[in-house]
Amino acid sequence: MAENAKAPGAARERTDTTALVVEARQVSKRYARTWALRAVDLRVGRGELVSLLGPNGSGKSTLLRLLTAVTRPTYGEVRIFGQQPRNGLGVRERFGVLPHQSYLYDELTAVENLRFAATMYGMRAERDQLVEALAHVGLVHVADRQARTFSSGMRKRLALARATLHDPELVLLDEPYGALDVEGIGWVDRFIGELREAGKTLVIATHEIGRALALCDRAVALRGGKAVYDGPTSDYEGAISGATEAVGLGVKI
Amino acid sequence: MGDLRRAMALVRKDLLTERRSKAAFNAMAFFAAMVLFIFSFALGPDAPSMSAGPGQTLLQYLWPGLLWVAIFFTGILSLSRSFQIEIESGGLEALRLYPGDKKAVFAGKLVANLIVLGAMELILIPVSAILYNIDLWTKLPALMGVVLMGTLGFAAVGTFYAALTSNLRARDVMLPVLLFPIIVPVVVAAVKATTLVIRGDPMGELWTWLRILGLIDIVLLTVCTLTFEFAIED
Repeated sequence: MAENAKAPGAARERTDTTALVVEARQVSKRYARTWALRAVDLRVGRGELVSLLGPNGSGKSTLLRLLTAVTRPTYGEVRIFGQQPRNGLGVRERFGVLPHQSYLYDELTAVENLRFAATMYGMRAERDQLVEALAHVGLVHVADRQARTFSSGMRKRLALARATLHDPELVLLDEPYGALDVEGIGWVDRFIGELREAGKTLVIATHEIGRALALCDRAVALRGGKAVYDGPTSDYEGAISGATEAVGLGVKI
Repeated sequence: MGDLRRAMALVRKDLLTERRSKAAFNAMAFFAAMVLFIFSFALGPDAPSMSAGPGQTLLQYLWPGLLWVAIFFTGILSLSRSFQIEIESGGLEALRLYPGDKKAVFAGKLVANLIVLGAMELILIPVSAILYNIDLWTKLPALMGVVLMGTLGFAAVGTFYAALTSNLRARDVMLPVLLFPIIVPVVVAAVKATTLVIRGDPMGELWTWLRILGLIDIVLLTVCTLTFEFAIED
């Protein structure tokens, strides 16, 4: 499924790396005495699919949180669409986020969760539009059920519907495959494929290296808060195994 | 206009959540009942008051102060809960991410808190009046005005500090520790105004205390609104 989602060659033609959507310059983040991220650079062009790879604690989620400005970098600078994500005019409407947590309210129904998000994004969403968004993620039959009754797969679908409800140009996904079964993983692959076909720019933080390499144009590997690889997914395996063997680790990131 | 809609969406979302979970309201109702009974047992239901006129019990004499102590103690539960629901879903991060002025988030949370606190007061005031045998029915409109003003100041600072402490592990301890010193001026003015409403105002002081309470509300509302964005930062 992952292989099908990627259209080799076509995506690269759509990718316009001269128009930078994401630009992180030498960003570092320290929590108390621990450096979660150290001097990481990241540039993502329009239409690119970039995966952030690395083990737990490598700094993937921290980097995503810095890109969305939910937290500030200790050092360095982040720009989204050429503007500061926190204060830039009209920037926040242009990106959507699937976070580690769902941003869903358990007591609200699926439709109510989407209506709240739509209103917060400044949209005037009618019920028909919200139901249509739910139909797109296969949840129309549970539109009026409270989110607390959803399985983790259904929650993931609803969270993805919430993240893309306002048709953002940039979509940031943090562990989109987390807590999903095989069917759910396949569904997420298809959803990412659709976003890709729609010309969205995607940054995906994941442990699923195989899927990320199959889906994305570029991989950025992080370890201990540092970027140890930034290049095409096709060169990733060789570069990383060479690097880890060189330092005697012999483990994949 | 967009920010007004955002604030209203937050109010609706918080009230829907509370109506379905009843987490804050049930806890508040139980806690308020406990506070009223504990005061009654501690002070003695029929203990005569040395300071007031004949026939007045100590509980009746102290009722204005006891009422506000009950409101503040009980209200802490609601204020704490209003940001707890955001933490559980990661929603505080989402509130930071949404476009628009963060003052709308403060306004929405404040109004939702005011409605929940108001609902609690609508039960607490008549029940305590019946329990302590207070004749407040003729003074109800003036009393409601004072309660509304006192609750506004309390809810403004409470909403601010509930947001500020929501990411702390010791938030349940830190919220009252930070909040109570700041609301001392509200307590003083609200208790004084309530006392004047209940016992009569021969010296015409009520208007002065209402103006003081109003001024405190304006200052607290302004400061909390302008600084709220920093309170919800990571």
